[in-house]
Amino acid sequence: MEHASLASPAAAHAGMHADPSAHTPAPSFWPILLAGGMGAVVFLVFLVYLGVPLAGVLLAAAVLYTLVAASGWANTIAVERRHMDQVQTNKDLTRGFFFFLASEGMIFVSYFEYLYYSRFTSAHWPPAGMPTLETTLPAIATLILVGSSFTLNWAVHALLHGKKTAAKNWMLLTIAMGITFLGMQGFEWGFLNGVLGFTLTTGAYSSAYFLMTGFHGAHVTVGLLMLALVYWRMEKGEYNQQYHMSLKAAEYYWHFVDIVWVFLFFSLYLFQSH
Amino acid sequence: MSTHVATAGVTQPRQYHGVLDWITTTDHKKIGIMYIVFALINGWLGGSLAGLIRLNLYNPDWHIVSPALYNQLMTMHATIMIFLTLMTAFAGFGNYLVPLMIGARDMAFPKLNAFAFWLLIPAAMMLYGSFFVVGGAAADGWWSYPPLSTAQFSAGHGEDLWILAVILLGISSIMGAINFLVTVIDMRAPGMNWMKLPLFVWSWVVTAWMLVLAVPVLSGALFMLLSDRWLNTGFYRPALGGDPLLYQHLFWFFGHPEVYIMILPGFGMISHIIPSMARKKLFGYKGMVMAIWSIGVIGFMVWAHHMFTAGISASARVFFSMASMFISVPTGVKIYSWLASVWGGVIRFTTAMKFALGFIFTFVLGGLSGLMLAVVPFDILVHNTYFVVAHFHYVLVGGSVMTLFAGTYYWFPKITGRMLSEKLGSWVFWLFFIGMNWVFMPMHLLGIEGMARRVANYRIEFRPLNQFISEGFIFMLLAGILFTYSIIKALREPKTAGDDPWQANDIELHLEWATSSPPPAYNFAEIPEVD
Amino acid sequence: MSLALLSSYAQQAGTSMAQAMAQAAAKGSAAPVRNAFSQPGGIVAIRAAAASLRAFVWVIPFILIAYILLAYVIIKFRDKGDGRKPATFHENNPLEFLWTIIPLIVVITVALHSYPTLTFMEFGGNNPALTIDVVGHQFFWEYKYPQYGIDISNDTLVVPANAVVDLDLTSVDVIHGFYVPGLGIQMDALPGRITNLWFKAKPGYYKGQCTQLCGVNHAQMLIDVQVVPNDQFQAWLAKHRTQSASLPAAPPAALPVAPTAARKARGKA
Repeated sequence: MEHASLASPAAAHAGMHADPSAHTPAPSFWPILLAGGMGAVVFLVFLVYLGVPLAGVLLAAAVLYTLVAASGWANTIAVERRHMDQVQTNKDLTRGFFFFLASEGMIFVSYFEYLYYSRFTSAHWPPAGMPTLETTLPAIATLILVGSSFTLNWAVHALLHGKKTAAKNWMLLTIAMGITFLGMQGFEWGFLNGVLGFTLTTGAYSSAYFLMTGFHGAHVTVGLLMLALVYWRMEKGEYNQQYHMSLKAAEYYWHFVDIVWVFLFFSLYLFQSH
Repeated sequence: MSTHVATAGVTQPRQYHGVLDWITTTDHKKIGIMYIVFALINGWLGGSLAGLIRLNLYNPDWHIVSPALYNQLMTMHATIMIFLTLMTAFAGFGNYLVPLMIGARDMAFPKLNAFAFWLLIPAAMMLYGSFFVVGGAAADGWWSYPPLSTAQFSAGHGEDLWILAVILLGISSIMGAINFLVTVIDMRAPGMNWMKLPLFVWSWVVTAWMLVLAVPVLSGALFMLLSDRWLNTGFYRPALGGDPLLYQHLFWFFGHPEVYIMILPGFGMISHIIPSMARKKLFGYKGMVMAIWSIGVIGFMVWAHHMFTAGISASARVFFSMASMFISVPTGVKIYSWLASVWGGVIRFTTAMKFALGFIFTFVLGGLSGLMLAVVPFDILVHNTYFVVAHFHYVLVGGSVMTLFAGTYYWFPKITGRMLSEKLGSWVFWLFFIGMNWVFMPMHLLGIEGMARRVANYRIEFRPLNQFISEGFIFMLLAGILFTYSIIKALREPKTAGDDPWQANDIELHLEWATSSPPPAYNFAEIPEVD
Repeated sequence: MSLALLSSYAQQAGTSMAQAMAQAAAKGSAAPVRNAFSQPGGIVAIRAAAASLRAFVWVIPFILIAYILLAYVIIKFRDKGDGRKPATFHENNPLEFLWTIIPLIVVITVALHSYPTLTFMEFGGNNPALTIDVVGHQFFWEYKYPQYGIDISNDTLVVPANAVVDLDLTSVDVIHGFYVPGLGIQMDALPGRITNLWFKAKPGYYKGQCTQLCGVNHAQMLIDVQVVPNDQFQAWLAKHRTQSASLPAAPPAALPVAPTAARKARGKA
């Protein structure tokens, strides 16, 4: 603050000659509605755990309600953005999204910290009584998921060059590869659970395995939903060279999910022995 | 206020009135006020629990509360004070002041801002509601260490509700933090470059970074704890090869940055109040910014000093002891810079300044007892005793709460357009200052004599000091009553404060004092340019 | 929270707690709670207290400097209404450099100064005369003397004076904290893990308690240590050995977790 001073002190003061571009953000019911929905979902999860009758039905209703509130909010933003500075709001949203991904990344960091701490403090790895995990299938799944990052990139590239059909095809391929990945993960889980008897409660190691792959799988699912939404909007022709913020967001999210998986693959499958 | 602002091409948004206005508002100032009121209410509730704790410890033979309830009170006192009072109070001041200070009309994401606030309500309902479920509220301390917090040893559902509520509060904090970061990065007024940023804004930038990076780790750790409780997983259960110590590592990886999250915005406030009241520019702005960043970075590397007696290796003790000591250097820089800012000034002893100088007195003590605790042999002698209780109350009450009082007295005119009574303020300050030292100073002694913390009962030898401490609580209670009364009284008076009641802008420019009190909905008629 | 709820809680567990505390007080005789500063009970406590005081001596000047400066500026620079103009300086690089670098050197000194004591407290207890397995339970301590086949619970820990006593701590349920201030020792007892500490004490009666919140009766989980001359200790051993002769002198159950770093370093697994 060494040399800060006001260029024109009088102008800063609230006067009657207000700046024509002055706007205050519109009031909105969505924040409180969504917060209530999220609170209800969390509380109902608790009631379902307690086994309260009808809690499951209420939970489903609350989830539905929360989704409606979220999309209502998203819709309001989309409408508002038509009257706002696109470049600036895109910059804001992108930056906010990156910070969000940073905090998401830190959740994974806590799980990796768990995994590596256990690994370096225990005498055997995998711990005694735990199977060594088969690598071939996950390796193929890894290739597919990493490949889908490239196909998504090509989809975005095609769209930015006006090749809308190619973009849609690449997008479909990306979604298909994502679904394949999830399917393979499901198969892997089934195999571990059913054949090897390696379940969530076998031991701390298996708990970590299922938590990490499960949490990641949930992220893949969310990513797929985002991609599906993007594809739907592509079909409607809503994107062009300038206006494709949600496409970018979905792209970053998908790359994030991919990068996390690469770390998971290395930590859980590739380097299993000390 | 905004009705006369013509907005070209935008249909004027619908305005609501009364309660609906508050429910639907996306105005950072109204959200800030709601945060501050929420914090004040929770401060009273959390403080009442502290009162019950002190009443119980006055004479354990009276059995004011059962040991089971004592553990609940102690756990909930900490949770409420940390998550619902201090964090929300600073979030409130941050919300109100940051856009004003950087010359913006609002936060980057006004709706997200409202969302982060409203998410506090279900979380608070779950926390308070948990007192009435079978088994009562969570009773495992705010650390909630497993195995005590696993289903085997804490079968009650208070613990489940506690975990869920804290995860919700974490989401709220992260959303708020992201909003602060984007706001400060993208929405500064023209000419407001980084090295002209007011220190309160700087402190919130670092705080927000710490929230974004630290809170998710807590969520991860709590998620694993919940899964141990509900799904019988083995993360923290030794029988399944899990390790309870790992929870401590994860918890304190969040927990120590959390301490700085609760004090850095307070540092920022003091850096505004002292120059304004001493009629002299802040000393060493660059050093202050560097100090905040050093605290933010080193704060992530000291977590295991909470675990010196948990059986970690000697080399880990050595590393974390050294790192913890390093963090006192930037803290010292801040103290000296504040003193140098006063040096040669002309001090006006307003209530805000009294609290600011009182803060320096108490925080020096809290900081240096922290330095002592980083000395491992001393830590072993007093770890988990009342010495530690004294230390962190000197930091959180002598630090954070004193800065919040100072900040309230300083910015109340801006927020409401009315002055708080200085006469009552003097009483509030002296009652609180004497009360807090009365209560927390003797706790150092209790700890050195060997009284463990978190006990509902103690050996008879510790009784005289405990009774002395409990008596001091009355002073803090009176200060709280007087403070609340003073606010209510001021709110009934006319708005006569004026734009800049402290003449802060005669010393150096602060944009929040360049607009009216309270500011109009759009903050600045024209976005100010700074050069 | 309603008052009715409060009082109902209060009635539940108050009396049992009072009885337990009364019993504990009776066991502990009238001896005061000793701490490492006023009545250190042995070399570990003496060294720990000395290291603490050394660090404190380094810290005191900083408290004093800050407080003297604070008092000085408050008195000297208050607004006396004489129209004095405030000074305008707002930076001084050499000064700022100094008040960064001097505290830095001091804290490094303080840290390095404490390390010999830390090492001593961690590794100094070689060739223990007696090893005791301390097992934390909700809400009492169990002491096993594997060399003598003695296993006592909820009782006073009796050890010989002036001998290195080694404690291997673990827990069967939650985390407990073994803390005896007069002996200068504190260490958590964790389930599934063995932690370790040692001491060498002068004869006397030492009181401590559990320092890690371990549940409802955490406050009741007291520790009493009786340090006696060796002949008395032998007599105590003889008495207790016969008493628990019927018990098999089982070695402590092998734990599934790797030994802690401290134990590794001391070469006893």
